[in-house]
Amino acid sequence: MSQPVILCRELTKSFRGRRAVDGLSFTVFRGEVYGLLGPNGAGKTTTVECIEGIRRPDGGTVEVLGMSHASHGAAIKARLGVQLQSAGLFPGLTVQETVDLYRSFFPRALPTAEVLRLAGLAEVRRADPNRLSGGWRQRVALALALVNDPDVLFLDEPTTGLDPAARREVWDLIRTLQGRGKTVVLTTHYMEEAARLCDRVAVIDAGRMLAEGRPDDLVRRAFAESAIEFAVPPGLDPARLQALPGVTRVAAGAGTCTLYSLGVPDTVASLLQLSGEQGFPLERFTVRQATLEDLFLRLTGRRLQPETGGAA
Amino acid sequence: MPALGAIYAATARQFRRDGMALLFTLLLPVLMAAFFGLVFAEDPAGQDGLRPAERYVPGMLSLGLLWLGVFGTAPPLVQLRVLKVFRRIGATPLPPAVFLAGQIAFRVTTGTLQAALLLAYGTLVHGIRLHGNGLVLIPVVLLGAALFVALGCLLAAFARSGEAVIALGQVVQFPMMFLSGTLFPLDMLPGFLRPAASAMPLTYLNDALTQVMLGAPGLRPLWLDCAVMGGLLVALSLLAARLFRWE
Repeated sequence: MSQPVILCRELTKSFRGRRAVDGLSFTVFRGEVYGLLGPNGAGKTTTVECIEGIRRPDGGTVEVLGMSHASHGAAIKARLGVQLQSAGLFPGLTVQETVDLYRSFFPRALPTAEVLRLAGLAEVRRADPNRLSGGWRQRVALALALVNDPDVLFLDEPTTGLDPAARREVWDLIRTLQGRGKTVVLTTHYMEEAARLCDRVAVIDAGRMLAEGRPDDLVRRAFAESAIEFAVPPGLDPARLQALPGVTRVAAGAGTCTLYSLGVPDTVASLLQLSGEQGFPLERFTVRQATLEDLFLRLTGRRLQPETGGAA
Repeated sequence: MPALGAIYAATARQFRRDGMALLFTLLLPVLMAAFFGLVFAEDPAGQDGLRPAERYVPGMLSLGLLWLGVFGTAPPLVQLRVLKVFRRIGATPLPPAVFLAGQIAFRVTTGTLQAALLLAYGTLVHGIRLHGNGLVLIPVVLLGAALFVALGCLLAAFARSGEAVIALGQVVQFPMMFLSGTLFPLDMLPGFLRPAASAMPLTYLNDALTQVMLGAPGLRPLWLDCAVMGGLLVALSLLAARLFRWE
């Protein structure tokens, strides 16, 4: 069993009387990619900022690499790599100058060229990062997290605002870093990102942990069912479909009907039969495994990404 | 300390690439001195043999160093906070004092350049000659620059937004401009305002510079002006370092 790198116990933090983090406890082990998954405003960023030592928690204990911030703040920070959502770019410095400046803040640093290469920034190294697109700035922020060849990396929403190709590149980089023995703590509200990258995820909402474990296990534990989805047919009350064989639950909203089924072939056969008898169409028909998104929906009654809409 | 040098160099680059800041900070005292020089060009010399046009040269250097601190230091620092650069640096092991030291060191250099340019102007245009040992001007300029840059750091520790720091800067600079003897002599002030003048740090810098640059008699001995500035510098620096937060 590998050793714990981050110990977080009963962490609390309030802002103006509002509990942003409400008694979170978890442990992150060496070499794993640990995900904090939750909607915007769930308290993920505040949690990692307390672990990074840039916010002082109101209550609870945080131990990083066997040390506490109160007694060994600088020693911890020397071994952490931090990517903040807001990148921390000095106005008027090029990408390369920014990386060089941040390198000087650490007792030990990777060569600038290697940092730029890892983050895929070699071609824009002379550009003003504040004039680059959001995706590039995101990469500069990532580069700043790598300058000290850290043992533990904190990536806060690292792919927000990236196009799919750039997102895949960042995912590859995270796997590369894990391959080099780094521990990665990732916050995200993308279910797919958490499912693909994380060894373990903590599902967080309103500053509390709702579930923790391997993404597959979490979903399997919560859902023996698969999801059958289609556009709600005109004139059909989705609640009636509850009676179909195998169906455990029906969720409908925003034009999509989701049937959670323990026996997909039976459910589909009777659904098709019903559709033939009553003459209603089955459009945008899909069968899929339940996902972390379904889990979050079940735990909170809400979607991770409200903007995507869908059943509620 | 490699970080200190890197912060100094990075700040110098930012400054160099911001043309307006460069022009404003370095040349404003010369431009102001030239303006007053033209306005009062015809005015006769006073009892001490100094013409008003000359008298404005040290005053503009005092104001230049005040602006260097209040508008050349505080707003850029607040900008770094607003851009969350401070928060990002807070996640590194860099001590805030080293960051501030790099910022201060660069601005004190800028203040020295300001002084050199103004001195060149004063010498060439008004024929000012440094009184006594001209080398005394160097420590006085360094002390004055450090004092007002420390004041700027203190303002930056208080202000939370770009608008707030400009407003705060105005509040600090306005009475100082009028109650320090830079724009008009202190003996023109009504009696009840005299104590206020003694409370302005700029009064002491202006008095010191007038003595060193013009050889005019001061309100106080030069050493006392410098001692007051030194004391203020220590007090403001300690307060700024105490109040400064990365967050």
